[in-house]
Amino acid sequence: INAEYMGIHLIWKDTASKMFRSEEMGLYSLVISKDNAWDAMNEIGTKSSLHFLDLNAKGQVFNRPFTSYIKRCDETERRIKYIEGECEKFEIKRSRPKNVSDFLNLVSRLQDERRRAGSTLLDEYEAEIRGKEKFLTDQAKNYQSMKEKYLHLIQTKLVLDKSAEIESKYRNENRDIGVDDRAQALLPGQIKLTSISGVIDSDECDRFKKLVFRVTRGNSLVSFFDLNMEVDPETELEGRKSIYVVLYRDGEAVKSRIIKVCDTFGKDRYEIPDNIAEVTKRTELEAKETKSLIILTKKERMKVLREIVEAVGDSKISKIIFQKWFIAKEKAIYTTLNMLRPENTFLSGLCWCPLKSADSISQSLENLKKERSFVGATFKKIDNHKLGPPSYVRVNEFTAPFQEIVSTYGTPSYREVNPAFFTTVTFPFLFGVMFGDIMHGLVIFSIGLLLCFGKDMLLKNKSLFASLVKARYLFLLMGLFATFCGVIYNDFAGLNLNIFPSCYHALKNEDEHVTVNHTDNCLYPIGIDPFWKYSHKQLQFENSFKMKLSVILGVLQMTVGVILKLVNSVHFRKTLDIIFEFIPQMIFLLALFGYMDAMIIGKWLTKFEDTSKTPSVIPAIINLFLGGGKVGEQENIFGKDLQEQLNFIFLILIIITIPVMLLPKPIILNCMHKNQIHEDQAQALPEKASIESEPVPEIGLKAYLSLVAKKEEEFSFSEAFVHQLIETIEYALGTISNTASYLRLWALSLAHAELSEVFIDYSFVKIISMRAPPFFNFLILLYTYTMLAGITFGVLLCMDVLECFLHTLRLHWVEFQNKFYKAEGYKFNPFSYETTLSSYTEEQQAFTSYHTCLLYTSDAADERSSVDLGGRRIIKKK
Amino acid sequence: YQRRVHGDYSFGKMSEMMTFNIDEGYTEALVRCMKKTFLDEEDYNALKSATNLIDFRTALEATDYEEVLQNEPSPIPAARLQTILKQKLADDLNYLQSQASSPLNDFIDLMRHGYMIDNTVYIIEGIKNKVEFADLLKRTDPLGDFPGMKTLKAAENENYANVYQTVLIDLPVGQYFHKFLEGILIGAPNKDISSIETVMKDYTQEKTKNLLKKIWLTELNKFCTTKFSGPSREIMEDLLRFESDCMRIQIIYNSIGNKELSQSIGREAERKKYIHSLGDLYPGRDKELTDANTLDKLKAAVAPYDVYKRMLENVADPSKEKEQDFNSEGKSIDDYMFEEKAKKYALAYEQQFHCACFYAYMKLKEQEIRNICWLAELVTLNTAKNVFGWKKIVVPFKDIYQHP
Repeated sequence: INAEYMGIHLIWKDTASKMFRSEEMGLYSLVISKDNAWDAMNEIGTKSSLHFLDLNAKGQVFNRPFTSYIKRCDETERRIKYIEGECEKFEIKRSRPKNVSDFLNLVSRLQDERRRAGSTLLDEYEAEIRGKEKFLTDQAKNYQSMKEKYLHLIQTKLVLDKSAEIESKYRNENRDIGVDDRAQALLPGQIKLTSISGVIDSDECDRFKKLVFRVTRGNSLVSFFDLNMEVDPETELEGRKSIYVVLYRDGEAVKSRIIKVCDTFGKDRYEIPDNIAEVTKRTELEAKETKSLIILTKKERMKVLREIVEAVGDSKISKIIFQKWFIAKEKAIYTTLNMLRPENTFLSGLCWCPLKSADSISQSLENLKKERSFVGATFKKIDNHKLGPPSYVRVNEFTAPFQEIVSTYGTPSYREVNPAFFTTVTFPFLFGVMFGDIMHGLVIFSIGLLLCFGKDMLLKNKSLFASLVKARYLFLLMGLFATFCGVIYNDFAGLNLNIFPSCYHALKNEDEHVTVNHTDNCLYPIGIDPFWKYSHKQLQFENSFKMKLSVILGVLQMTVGVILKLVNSVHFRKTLDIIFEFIPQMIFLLALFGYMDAMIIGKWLTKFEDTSKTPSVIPAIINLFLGGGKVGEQENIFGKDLQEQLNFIFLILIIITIPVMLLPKPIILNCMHKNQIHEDQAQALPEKASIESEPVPEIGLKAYLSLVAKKEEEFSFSEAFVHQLIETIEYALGTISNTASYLRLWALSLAHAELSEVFIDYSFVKIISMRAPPFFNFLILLYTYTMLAGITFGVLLCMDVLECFLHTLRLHWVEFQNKFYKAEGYKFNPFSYETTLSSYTEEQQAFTSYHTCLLYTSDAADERSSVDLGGRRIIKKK
Repeated sequence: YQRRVHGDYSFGKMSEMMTFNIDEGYTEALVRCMKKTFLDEEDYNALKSATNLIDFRTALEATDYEEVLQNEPSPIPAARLQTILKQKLADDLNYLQSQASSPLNDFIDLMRHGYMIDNTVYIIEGIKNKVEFADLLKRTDPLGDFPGMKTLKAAENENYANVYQTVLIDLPVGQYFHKFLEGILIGAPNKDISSIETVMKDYTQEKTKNLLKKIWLTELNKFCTTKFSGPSREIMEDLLRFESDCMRIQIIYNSIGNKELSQSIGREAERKKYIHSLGDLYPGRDKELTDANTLDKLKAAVAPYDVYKRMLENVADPSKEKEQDFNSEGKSIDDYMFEEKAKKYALAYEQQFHCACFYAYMKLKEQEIRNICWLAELVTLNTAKNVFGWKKIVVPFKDIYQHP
């Protein structure tokens, strides 16, 4: 027994207690000299356990001490982004570090090699990247100008081709060349026509035409041709352009005007030379040369980029990626340093640290002091502060999704009982109660298994399911419990499994009448006897069973919730809450619904001879109030006398609890407050003196307090009373409606069972009973089978899973957590390379960024005033 | 004003409220979201505490302008800053316009015609003075950007008549030039297009612009009264009335120091040309205003209107020459007007289901850019922090509820 106890004790100490409450925090002051700030912070980053408070929040961004470094990091990051973009363009692969610690090892190795201060590495990389970026942009510019030249040459060639075409056609007096009839009408006799052509954007054709028309007063002709340029993959030319040809009567004045207009629209204007053919040839040749030059430049760029992605040292990490991570790390250091306050040659900061990690932090700072021989790094605990510490719940891969479910509602207050501790089991279990089905449960279970074992592969391939990997244990448990409940309901996708011999047997009499007999002393080993399937009362039976089960489970969970309130009150030493909230609440819950549960169980355990006279529970409970505790014929469960006595006691208890919940607490609070004022006044003078004589508290703390200074809340009796009134009403009515709310366990399970039964009935059972010819039957079954598979997947495995999930979520957020969970904390957010850099790792990149949002459960409405979206309580103390 | 805007609704207005969202619900939602992007007091304080342009930029990067500043080399001089910010405003307006349907779409077009007029007049003037065309294009206001702007290059070495006939007529602002030329030809001896050149000699850039703006404002008002109904119309009319009143007061105020214009002939003939027949002051106070040739007379003329009275209360007398510079105490009439206008525009945001908030948005953003550039100038000049100039910015939405 002792060994067993020790085992449990160990488990509790090692894992469970970490989850039950958030970790104990201490406020520490950290003072480091400016010269060694980088080294110290670099060390702290690897420890991931200091949550810094921003002491410069009031000042301007640019007045913070390390803003210039952050700017430099930003600038370098921008440059790296550009270089990476170039790599992307040329499809050059870069390899990342496997995980953050790999990267950090490499960094420290590099720093040791260099034998210089670690902070100077930034300067080096900055310069290097600046140089690389400059080279690349120059190259790109060069490339661009060459591309433009090439484009110009190509355009020239095309325009020349077109002009030649027009001219030759015009010479042959061919009319339909795009130049319409008006051209001929315009040109009586032998007036010499001249043309100007060029290239403009297609969008501007109309405007161009109009302007030319106005400038030449109609004495010209403009025609456009689409510029059909094949987009050359080597040179990446694009854009929709048109060639224009302006025909006009020769004359210097007109010409200069048209040229002016042409130049307005673009610089690509071409004079048509006389020897078109020759010029064309020359242009073509030139274009060819330019193109080969372009290709050459491109190769040069590729070469430089390849150098950039070479591995660093003996690792496999690409240089550019390494530098990107490094810059991110530096930026994190300086951002954190910016939260410290400069005092002369020191920086002083305030931070939260889990008490457990404090030693290791001060130890490593000590070591650093010895190694680098620097002065004055102190790390001291501050007591007597009035700041609320952050909540830090350590999670592992298993508990993370459950903690996420709870934290989405709200971060636990500091040291408050963490509902996630219970949610790890109750969440999948309640899901299972709703989703109970052996087959479907097994499917979910196998998805969970798949995610667990195929984790690495899924993450590597960045598959669609990668985002589910985080929730793999949730799936596993959900599947497990769904299967378990399926066994209890004896439901296999709408069929009953006949594994064990049924305790019933049917006998057919001579007159075709069937009688069912129960085998004596027979007990079906687990779940519901499959024989119920043949009964026309099957649905009634199952409904009654599941309904009662839901209420029992609900009352159990709520009772646990109320007990947790006791645990919280004891922990925070709130005697008032124990006496005037916990005790009456517990009595109220148990006297009403605990009693009801007892009736249900009592009824289950009693064998009623005359089945028409079985008592029913609901009228019994209603009569507890309306009938004044009298027990009627149909309500007798525990025996008339006993039950009447119980009724009387419970009724009195229930009635008493309400004023107990409502009145004493605000009145006592008010008295205490008055006493407090009295005492304050009595002690006012001496206390003031003592404040002055007190030594000055830590400078950082003082500064921070002045930043967050808030007015102390004034106690007001009316407010306290109204608050208590609401709490009481909420609890009393809430208990009833919450219990009713647990009926969703039954409702969803019913819906699931009915749906799967209908699906299987109409796809298999009906077809088989048609007794069609075998081949025909086969065809139909083939068709219906596909249908069944599709519907099962779509409706039962997607929609129903989601729905059950949502309702489970709601039951936890509203019905369970509103009994005790305040959720007024804020997250512990330590300065950590792990968290800063993890967004760059492969694993993280596989997860699509997923946002948490509050869900609206439509029936939250039945919680009246207490609930808004997702069951968050509106009425909280301001 | 409050009563006029928040008055009870007849059925027509109700129906506008019911159907407004069908077409413009999304666009209006957008412009209302953009209200969030306005700099608040704290942002301005951050800007004010900057000691050089690099800090100034850092502070500005904490606002909605971050995105457009990202790729600029530091430091950004005030002139460049203005172009960038205006370009952003223009882009935002384009985005809004691309979501809008008629008549809001046309309304936004029309709103921007005012800036197009500025640009066009500026370019024509520049061409006349032989400024490089590319430089001219660079210095235009992005708000008044229009696709055909570069066709103005064809105006080089041309006379006004030709410019009008070849280029202006096709521009979006052509209609205003048409009316403008028609207007000035009435007084000319020879009512022919060829006489434009001689008539135009009397019109400087400022005068032309003012007359064009007058025509534009009238058109805008006409548009609002005919195409809009319900709150859009009410609020827009109110804003335009206020604006044209301001313009009128300003013209008279500016003319007070000018001998030619403050004499009675000048007042009747010349000054009146620039004055609108729109607004609360017309025709009720028309006679008094026409007679006004001193600041006191002007003050007396607008005295029945609280806003205008407040505006003129503390301004310097223009007849006593006094240079305005960064260090001068007291505000100019412009500053007072900006303040009152900002209040007015901010009020337009108070009501829903109308198009006037697009106009208000543009104007307020313009004011914001003016503020930022003013501060940037002060920072560039390294002005002492206790100088009055630092207070000369208008923060919209700040004191909207203190409005009497």
